[in-house]
Amino acid sequence: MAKMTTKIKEYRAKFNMNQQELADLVEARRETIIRIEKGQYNPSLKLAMDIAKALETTVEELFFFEEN
Amino acid sequence: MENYETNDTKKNKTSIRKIVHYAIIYFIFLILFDIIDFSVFFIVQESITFTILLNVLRIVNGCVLLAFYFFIRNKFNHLDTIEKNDELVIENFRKSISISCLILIIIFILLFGTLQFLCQFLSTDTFTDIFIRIRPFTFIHLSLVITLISFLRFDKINEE
Repeated sequence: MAKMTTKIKEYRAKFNMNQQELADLVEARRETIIRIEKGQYNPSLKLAMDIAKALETTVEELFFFEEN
Repeated sequence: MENYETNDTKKNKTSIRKIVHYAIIYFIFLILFDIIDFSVFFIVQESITFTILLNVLRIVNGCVLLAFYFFIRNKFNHLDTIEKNDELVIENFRKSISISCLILIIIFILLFGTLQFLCQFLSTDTFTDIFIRIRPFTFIHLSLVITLISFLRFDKINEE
């Protein structure tokens, strides 16, 4: 089964941004960002788009499926 | 100075998990009181002294719980909008309520089965007494404790 993976961490590093700063930008908790980064939580389309916008990229670039 | 203010603000920030901890203690107190109230009724049904003592206990307990309730409400009002509206918080509460309902249904079936089984040995009056005294509030308090504990379980984050 395919698992959803994210490149949020890489993009954060690119912008020199920590989890709290990203969380503040997208109006979510830091815990939510941690979960998304670890692949433990699939965000809603709105949150995914907000994160993509904050990291100046697209949802397709940020989230992708990885075959096990 | 700027750094100091930022740290201070962070220190004072109440998290939803902290409030859930307070709420669990509050509902455990309620359950304990329900149990005491329920037990005392059977032990000292006819004693006036104990009835007065129980009523005093009820008043004191009521005041303490009311104060605790306002304390939690005040803390909750100081939460920022992000904490209240975070989609993971809402999702975790939804999951917790489902788990809580499932556990309560199982407890209720087990309890009802046990009482029916006991009914064969006890007189009908005692059975009716037990049934009347198990107040719906106890189930509501229990359900809230299970909901909050499962919320903490779902919201457990392995921070980096």
